[in-house]
Amino acid sequence: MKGGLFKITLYVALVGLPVWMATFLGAPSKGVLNDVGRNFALVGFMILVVQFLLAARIKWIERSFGLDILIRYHKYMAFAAAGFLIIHPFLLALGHRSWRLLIAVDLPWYIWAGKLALIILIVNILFGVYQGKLGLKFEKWRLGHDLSAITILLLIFLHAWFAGDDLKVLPMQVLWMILISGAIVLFVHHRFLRPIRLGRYLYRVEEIQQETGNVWTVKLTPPHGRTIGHYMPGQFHFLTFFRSPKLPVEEHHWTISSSPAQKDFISSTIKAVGDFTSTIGLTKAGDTVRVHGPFGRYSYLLHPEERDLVFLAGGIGITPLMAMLRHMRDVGDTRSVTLLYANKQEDGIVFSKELQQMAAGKNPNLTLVHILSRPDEKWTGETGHLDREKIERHCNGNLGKKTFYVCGPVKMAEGLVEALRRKGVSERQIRREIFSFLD
Amino acid sequence: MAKTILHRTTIGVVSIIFVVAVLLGVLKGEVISQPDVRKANDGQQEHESLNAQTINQGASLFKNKGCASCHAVDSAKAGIGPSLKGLFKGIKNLGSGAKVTDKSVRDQIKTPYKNMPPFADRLNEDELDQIIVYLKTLRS
Repeated sequence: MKGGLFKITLYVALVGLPVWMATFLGAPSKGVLNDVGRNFALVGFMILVVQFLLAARIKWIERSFGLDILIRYHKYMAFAAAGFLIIHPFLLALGHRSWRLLIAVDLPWYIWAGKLALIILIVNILFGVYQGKLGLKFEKWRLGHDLSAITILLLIFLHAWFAGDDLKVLPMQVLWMILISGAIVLFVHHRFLRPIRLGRYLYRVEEIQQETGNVWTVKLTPPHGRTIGHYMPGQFHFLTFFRSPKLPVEEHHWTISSSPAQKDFISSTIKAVGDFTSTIGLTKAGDTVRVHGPFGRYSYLLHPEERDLVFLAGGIGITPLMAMLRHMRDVGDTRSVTLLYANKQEDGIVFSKELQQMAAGKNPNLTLVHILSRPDEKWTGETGHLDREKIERHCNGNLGKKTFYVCGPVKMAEGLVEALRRKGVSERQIRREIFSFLD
Repeated sequence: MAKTILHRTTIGVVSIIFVVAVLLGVLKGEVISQPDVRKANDGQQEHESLNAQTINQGASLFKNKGCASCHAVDSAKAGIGPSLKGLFKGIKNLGSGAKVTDKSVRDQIKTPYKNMPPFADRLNEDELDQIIVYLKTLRS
């Protein structure tokens, strides 16, 4: 976490700023309950403003944590903001010794604006949490999330401006103006300006290659006169495909499966599982793609001193690990890697041939173990699930000095992490990406 | 593992923010600024500390929010509405017949009896407090 602590401190300072200002410049004290209630409102508002910063994929912030972690944090802080904002009218009501604020109907419009904002915020959070269970498509959810975020921001701004005692002084009003314009600028930049800018340098689909029955590799080349930006093996990027007009144009994120050691193309290996990815096989050479990346901190390059790695992969979770292996091969790295790779059937193993070739070579020093849960009769390798017993056996019982990279379906990955920790493997030795932004 | 560190960091950050918000709220009343006249809200406490700032704010609201265009404060003569000279000095009742208290005056401003327009939308609770504090200073 390079610079992470500094950025976390900065975050706390930023969220605390309106409270500090209000304490010394704002309205006079009206008793402890009122003062704390107002502070909770200020803090809740500020957390929501900074949410725009967290979600805007700012590289400087992302670099220290990884975008996956940042988006998770954004989600958790939404709960925190809602908590502060829900508590604040209760504290104010207690402070006034009157429940009118909570139950009366004949309240000024700006109080209702605040209540409405809180309701939208809670609904928004529930949709974020239950998006998967509701079967809501990501694209639709995202649009709703954007619109409600802006609505909440504006309502809460007006609410604070007219209802807030502390907003009666000029410095606080100036701060409020800066905050709301900052949030709106970030939003417009993130959702409109940057896509337009990136859209001027569209990548081209050079080749689309079927790896297995439902897994495809898309090879992309940069536009004329441009080079592929620096990235680390294991990172991911956002791609927006512009294909036949009948096919959906949506932005999704995928791991980069190519090795940054070769500069000709950048690729993602995509499994057709969802609404959008099921159309991936229809992509044609010559189609264009908007590329935004790279993001993430799931890369062995950030930990060059670790020489003994264990890769635990399930299905399409092989992609970041494959990018790392390819990179090790291309740069002649000699570290030792044990790859335990779980699939259902033999014909579902992605990169099967290339892995075999790598295992035969010296760079990296790869031990390849395939595990199939539904093998046919001819299969002589490991069978069943990727579990603690198999990990221990293939690590010769020695887990202490190794670093584990886990990537696969959420349940499998969580199970493996749990199993490793129970065997006394420390958190530092386990690397895992929280790839899905929503569940 | 990243997730555990994330959980701990989030809990840490939220706790700090929580503590700062509570602590500054508590300190504000105790140390940093003087309490004002919030208690006027109830109408029960007779002995509030009326400070000059609040009275001034009340007076300027009285002028700027339109009260002064109907109500005189320094002469006993009625304008469009009755004079408010000495309103809280126990001389008279409100037009509705109600006794003059914080609450009845507040209700009159928000949901008036008779021809006066309602001011509930134009004044928030704190501004009402300030106006009431100001009205209490009017001599008979």
